[in-house]
Amino acid sequence: MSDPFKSDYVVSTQPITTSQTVTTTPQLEAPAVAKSLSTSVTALTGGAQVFGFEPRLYGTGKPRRIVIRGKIAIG
Amino acid sequence: MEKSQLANVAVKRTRNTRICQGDVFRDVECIEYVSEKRGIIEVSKIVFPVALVLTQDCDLEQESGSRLKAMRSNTLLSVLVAPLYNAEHVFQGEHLVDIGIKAETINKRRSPGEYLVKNDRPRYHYLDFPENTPVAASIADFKHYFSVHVSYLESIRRTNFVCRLSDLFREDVSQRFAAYLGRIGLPT
Repeated sequence: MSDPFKSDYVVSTQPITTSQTVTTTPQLEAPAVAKSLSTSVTALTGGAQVFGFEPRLYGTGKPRRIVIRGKIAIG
Repeated sequence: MEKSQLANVAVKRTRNTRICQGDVFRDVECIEYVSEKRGIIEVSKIVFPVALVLTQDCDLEQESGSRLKAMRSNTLLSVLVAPLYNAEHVFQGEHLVDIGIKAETINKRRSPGEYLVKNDRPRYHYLDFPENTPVAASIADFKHYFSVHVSYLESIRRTNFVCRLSDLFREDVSQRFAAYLGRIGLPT
C-alpha cells in the first residue's frame, strides 16, 4: 500500500506526462547588492585571490515566482 | 554589505540526521496554487533563497523516530518555515519586488533600522551570521511563514542544508516568533 507521507506517493497508477513551460520572474541584482556580493566574497577569503574556487554566499537573491504550465496526457 | 565581524548568532555547519528546528535551508519552494483547466495544469510556486525551520524540535525529533513504527501518532504533516530575506533588500523595501510586492523602506541608520538590528522590533528577527558561514545578513519577518511537507523538506535536506542555529539562538528565534504570533491586537 502506498504511503502518502512519501514523496513518491501517487494517487493514480496511470502514467501522466506533461509538457512543461516554465515562466520565471527575472532576478536582477541591484548594483549595490552585486557590489556587496563581491565585497562579501573578499571578506570570506580574507582578501586573498582565489583561483578555481569561489565561495558562494547564500541569501543575496530575492524570492522569485515560477509558474509551470503543462498539458496532461493520460493513457 | 560585507559579512560582519559582529555576528549575532552562533551556528553549526554540520547537518544532523534529521530536520531540526533552526535549520537553515536554501531554495525552499512554497506552492502558491495548483490549478487544472481543460487538461492544462498550472503550478505557481515561490522559491525563497533561504528559509529557517520554526517547528518545535521535540516534534521534529518524535516525527523522525516515528517513521518506522506501526503507530505513527507523532507523525507531522508539515514543517513551519520562515523565509530569511537579505537584510539590505529589507532596508530598501525591495525584498519582495520580484513577486510584485513593494514594501516601505527602513532607514538602517536611524531608530527604525537600529532597533531592528538589535532585535528590539517584535516583528523582525535580524540574523548576522558568523564570517565562516556563507549566508548574508538576513531578516525574518514574523508576518511571513509557510509550511512545507515533511517529505519535501526531507528530500532537499542533504543538498540544500546551509547551517543550523545553535540551541540558544534557535530558542531566541522560537520565543520571539511565538510571542509575535500570540500578540493581541487591541483597538486603538
